[in-house]
This record gives sequence, structure tokens and C-alpha cells, in this order.
Amino acid sequence: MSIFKKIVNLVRKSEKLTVTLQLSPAMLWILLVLVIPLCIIVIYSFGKTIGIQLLPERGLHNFIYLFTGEGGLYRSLLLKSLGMALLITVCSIAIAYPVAYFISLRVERYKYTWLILLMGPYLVSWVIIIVGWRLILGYGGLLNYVLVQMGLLASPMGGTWGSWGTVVFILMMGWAPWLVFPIFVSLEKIDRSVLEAAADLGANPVKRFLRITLPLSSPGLLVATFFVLLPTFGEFVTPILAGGSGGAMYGMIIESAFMGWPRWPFGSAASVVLMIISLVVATALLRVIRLERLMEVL
Amino acid sequence: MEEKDVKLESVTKKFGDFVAVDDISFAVKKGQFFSLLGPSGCGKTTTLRMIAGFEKPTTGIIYIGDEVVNEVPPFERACNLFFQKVALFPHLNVYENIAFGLKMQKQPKPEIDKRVKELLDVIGLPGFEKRKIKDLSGGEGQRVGIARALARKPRVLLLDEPLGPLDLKLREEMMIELKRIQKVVGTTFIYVTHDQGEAITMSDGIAVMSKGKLVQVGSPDELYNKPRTAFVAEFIGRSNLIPGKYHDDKFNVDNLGKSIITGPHKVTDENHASACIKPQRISIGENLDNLDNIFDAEIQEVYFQGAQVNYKVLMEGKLKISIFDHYRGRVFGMGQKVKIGWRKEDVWVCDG
Repeated sequence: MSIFKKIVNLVRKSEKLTVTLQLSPAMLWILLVLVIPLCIIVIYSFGKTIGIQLLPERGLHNFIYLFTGEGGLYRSLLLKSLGMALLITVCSIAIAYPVAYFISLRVERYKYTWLILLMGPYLVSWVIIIVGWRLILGYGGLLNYVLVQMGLLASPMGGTWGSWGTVVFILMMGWAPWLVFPIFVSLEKIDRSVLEAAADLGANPVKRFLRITLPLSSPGLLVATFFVLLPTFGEFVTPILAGGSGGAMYGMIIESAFMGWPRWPFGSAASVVLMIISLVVATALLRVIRLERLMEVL
Repeated sequence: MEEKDVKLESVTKKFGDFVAVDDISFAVKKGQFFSLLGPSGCGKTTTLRMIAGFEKPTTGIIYIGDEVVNEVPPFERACNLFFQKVALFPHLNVYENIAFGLKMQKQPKPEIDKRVKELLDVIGLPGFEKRKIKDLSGGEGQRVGIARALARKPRVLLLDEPLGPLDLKLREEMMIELKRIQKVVGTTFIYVTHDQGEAITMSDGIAVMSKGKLVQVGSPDELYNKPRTAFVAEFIGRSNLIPGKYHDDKFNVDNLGKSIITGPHKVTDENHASACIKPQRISIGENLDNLDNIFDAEIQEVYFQGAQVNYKVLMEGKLKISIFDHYRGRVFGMGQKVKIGWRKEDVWVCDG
């Protein structure tokens, strides 16, 4: 028997090996673009550099600095970003849910046309959208202009641009249309006769919504939470462009550590902390909703 | 006067130009198992949904008890609907499903517990409280659905083709089960079906509908033996329906040569009538006497079924007739010339 045949037989015998080999292109890809860079980041997070050259020292100094350095600035930024991400999630779902509800349960014709129209804003780059909001919310923007012209304000007010509120508002408006989709799908999946059954059993519209529609659409809500919470937690473009000093977010630390004066080990440590927290949040969410139900909705 | 649980007076429902239900009136007595029977699209489901309150009649009045309910929303009506798709709440367990209506009434928990237990006993599923809906079999789900609909002790339970999705064996089981549950609880049932077998087996009263109109209301026995129109005769049980002209207790069929002798009957139009003869009422033999009607016939098809033999014969070389003959050790062969006959009381003449 040739060596080649021996190898083939060996592979055939071991089911595990077969599966592994069949998956190998995908695994290789994941290894290349995800696992290896991740490992490098983890290694860097414990290290020290001169320029970009990694020194042999290892330690927790980057993490300690992250949590205690600069008078606790980074730590508080981390908490603030998590809070903002939560707020954005809640607000954007609050906007998206009624839209999804309306399209799913009230609109009878052209449901999908309405959904596609919601994608309109995404034809434009995110940066352009932010700049667009500046034209409305900025100091010399449309909002102030209208308010002054109407005589409600003596002079343009500040604070509508360059604050944490601006960042929350823009991200909320940016994410809300997206969230209509998972919520819409979960609402579409509700058997309409179940709602009629509830009505027949004496549930008024409010109770019907709270006891039947809302719980049955919860998979969509959780997917929506996933969609927004994790990306906005590490967001840095919006706070840079619209946040001013009050709207800074944790993602900016990472951005500046890599893009500015290179402090890769510190940036890596900040990334690792972000990933761990995101992972914890994601796991907690996945405990509430199992992955297969998530896939059902998607 | 007997108490009526549901009464419809000249109820019409239009969807745009389409008349789904056309001026129907009937009353259902308390404690009756009443069926609305008809082919799909005849308006029976629309009628049921109007009684339930999910559709509003265009004209006419609907009473539940003595109350006019035209403007009463579904959740305030003294009737509950059992859904074609069962429509159990998938996120709640069996207990929570049955208790849903009671919770909406804000009944105290001990009473809800008691009622749920009682109902689970009635439907023959004691101890099922904690089961998840997705773990129930088709028949169990149906029974839980009935229990849920009965929980609030409605005056009337409306059932929309509840046995449709079940396979034949389960359907027969559920038919008996439904009738049993109805007797135990004594609630008026209004049952929509297109299956005459279901309607005849379970009902005390049946309303036959066709194209939005009410064709006939009566007991299964009446509908079977005294159909008012050919449509009813065709729909309920198997009949030989012969179109022809009826005059002076005689029924004339074109080109038959002889008239069929009948008793006195009432028809709307004597020139458009149908004679209806049940296959089991027809005698078959080589020589027949003492019968009002005797005809020559030729055996065309024979189906031996043990207790009975089914024949298809050609009567007087003109009409195809089905005959169910009790098996008495004699089977006629194909092509054999025989006599067939029946008494004049065995003919029912109706419209159409």
C-alpha cells in the first residue's frame, strides 16, 4: 500500500479528522484573519514597546494603567460608554418597535417596500450622515436657525452639538432603522389567530400587546439589542466627529493608541478589556435567548 | 318558549361587492350542538366570525341570549371561539393557556387553579398543567384549546372546523370526545364544518349553507330524510337524485316512459324538481311485487362489501342508480337483467 493510500484510509477512519479537513479552508481563514491577530493583540497587551518593537518584558502594567492612570479617566470613560451604549440600545429599540409593529400588523400592502425604504439612509456613508446631522444640529444649523426665527430663542443655543447627548442621538437615529428588521421578522412570525384567541378570551388591546405580542416578539428584541449594544460600545467615529469633549467614548482611547502616537501595548490592553466585557454581555444575552432561536429570527 | 342562546335575524355580510352571507336567520337552542354545514366559501365561517364578533354584519341583528351584540367587541361577548389552528399561546404552558381568560377576568388564583384542574379532568388530561405547548400531540393540543375556550363558562362555544387538521383516526376519536365534552359541560356549541359526517354524527341541529344563503335548518334526521333541495340531498348522505317534473303525486323524467309514483310533496317549481331516493331503500331482485314503483334495470357495477352489496344499475336504459342491498347470500352479476323497485314513501321530492 502506498503512503498516500494509507493517509487516505487513516482520514476515512477518523470521522473527526475528516470533518476537520473538510472545514479546513474556513478554519484556515478564521485562523488567519481572526485568531492570529487576536493572539497578537493579547500578547501585545501584556508587553512593552519602543516604537513598534516589542520588548521582552511582560506584565499587567498596561491594564493597571488603564484602570488607574490619568486619574481614573479611562475607567470612567469605559463605564460612560457602556451606559451610553445601553441608552442608545433602549432608545433605538423604542423608535424601531412601533415602526416594525405598524408595518407588520397594520400595513396590508407593500410591506416590503416600506422596509426597503428604511434602508435609504444607508445608501450614504456614515461619516456623511454625521456631517448631515451637523447641518441640522450644529451651532449655526437648521434647528437653531428655525428656533431663532420663530422667536423661541434670542440667540443660537449650544449643546445641541458636541455633547454626549449628540452622540447618543445620532447613533440612536442611525441604528433605529436597522432594528426594524429583526423586530419586524419576529412580529411577522406571530400567528394572527393567537392574537384573535387572546381577544376572544377577554384581553383588551393593551393586555394583548403586553401578554402576547411583546413576549412573542422578544427574540427580535434580543437580536436588536445584540445589533446595537456591542458595536456602539466600541464606537469611536461618531464621538470623534460629533461628541466634542463631553461626548468622548472608550473606543477613542483605542483609536488614538493605534492611530496617533503609537502605544500598541496600551491600545491592545484597552481592546482586550472591551472584548472581555462585550463577551460577557453577549454570553449573558445568549443565555436568555438560545442561538438557534436567534438564527430563526435572522 | 324555549330559551335561545344565539339568534340571527336577516343577517347579511358584504365584503365590497361580494355578498359572503346573504340574509340568513336561524336560532340555536340552549345546550344544543348546532352545526353550520356547507362547502368551502359558503359563508359558514363568516357567519361564525360574526357571532364571535370578529366581523360586523352589514345588516341584520345578532342576539346572544337576549342581548343584541352587533356593537359588542369580541372580548365582551358571552361566547368563545375555538380556532381552526387551535392558536394556543406558544410561550405559555397548558395551565397558563387555560387560565388566560380567567386571569383577564381577574378571578382569584385559588379559583383559577380549581377551574383549570376541573377542565383538565373534563378533557381527560389531568396533571398536564406544566406541559409546554410544543410538547403536546395534535389531539392533546385540540383538547387544551377546547378547555381554554370553555374556561370562562361561555354561553356559546364556537368551533371553526376544529378537526380539519387531524388525521382520520384522530378525527373520529375527537368527534366522540367533543360530543362527550359538550354533554358534560352542557354549553351550546356552534360548529362549522364542510364534513357532513361530522355534522350528522355530533349535531342536534344543522344549518346547511350554500353560496351565502341558508338552504335548510333541521335535525340530522330531517335533513337526511326530508331535504328541501337537491343541494341538501346531495350534501347529506348518499342519494339518487333524479331531475324531472313533479305533478299530482307523480314524478316524470324525460324519456323514461313511465312516471315515478310518489306521495304528496311541496315544491317551489313543479317543472324543476328532483326525486331523491336513498340507495338502501331500493329493492333489487328477479321478481318484485307489492311495490309502487318497479322498473327494469341492468347491473353495471358490483361492489361486495360483506354486510351489504353496492350496485350501480342502469334503470330503463336511461338512469344510473346506486343501490345498497343487504347481503342475503345472493349477489347479482354484471350485465344481469333485474327488477328494481321502491315504495312511494321512499321517494322524496324536493326543489332543484
